[in-house]
Amino acid sequence: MATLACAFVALILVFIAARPKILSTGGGRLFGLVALAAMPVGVGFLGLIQHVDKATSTEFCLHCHPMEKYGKSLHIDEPTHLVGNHFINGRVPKEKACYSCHTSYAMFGDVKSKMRGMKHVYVMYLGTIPEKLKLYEPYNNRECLHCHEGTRGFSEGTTHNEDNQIVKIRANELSCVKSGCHATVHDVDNVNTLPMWPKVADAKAADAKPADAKPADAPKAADAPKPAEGAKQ
Amino acid sequence: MSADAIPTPLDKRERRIRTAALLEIIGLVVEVLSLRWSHPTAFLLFVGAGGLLLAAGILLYLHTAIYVKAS
Repeated sequence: MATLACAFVALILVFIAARPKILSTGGGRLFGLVALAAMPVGVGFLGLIQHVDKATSTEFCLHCHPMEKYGKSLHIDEPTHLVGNHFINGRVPKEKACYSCHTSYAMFGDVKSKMRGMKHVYVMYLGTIPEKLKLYEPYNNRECLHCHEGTRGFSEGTTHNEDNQIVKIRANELSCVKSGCHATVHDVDNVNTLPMWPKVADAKAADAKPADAKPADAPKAADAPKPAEGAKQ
Repeated sequence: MSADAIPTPLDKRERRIRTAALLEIIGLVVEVLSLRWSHPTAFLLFVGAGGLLLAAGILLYLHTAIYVKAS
């Protein structure tokens, strides 16, 4: 869409560049304002929307080398591993796996994520990549509850309802990922030794699979306990 | 060849309009190329090169339309 619009505007601009005299008349001035100012702004905005949408893809996030292990962790075939469990079992859209959990579901969440993304590109090429990647701020339960709130597994989970913990979870006073409940997230330190789901894992992940890794099949993966059901790990 | 067919030289205003159009064409080409490339650097190319060229072309045109009179 944006490409077609760019091509259309470019054609008009070629015509103007070849015959700039057409903009000298009264009607020509209005045409010039539309063709040389309004339309380029419009197609620029369309392109921006397309770029921002592309930036939400899993493929986009995993382009950068420091994200390699995090990408591998999507395929970890262990029910206690939060990331693999969500990705393998389709609890997050595969094409937008990173973005589903790493955008804050608030008014300026997307904008903040994009600004941070720009900083990441800068650090990737011109800065120093930190040895251990850290979140900018503690992971907010809101991101989990965006999908899990109102589900049976979350609302009726035994552990969630013990000592009224569910109230603390909703108030973000008890973290889903830091309270010993769903604490195994990306586990990048062990990603090369953990079993992967080979059907979707890339060749490198398959190579890294240890000999004792059990081949996971789709039904088994689907039977894995839901991470938000409250079972302590 | 009749006298009407001989192209008249462009005045300052028309030359600037042509330059603005060319800047915007290059900007649009850069933007299309960046849209074909799915990589974090493509976004920087889109904003840093394509956006800058487009903005330069638009500003040049607006400045010309407002301040430069046709001779």
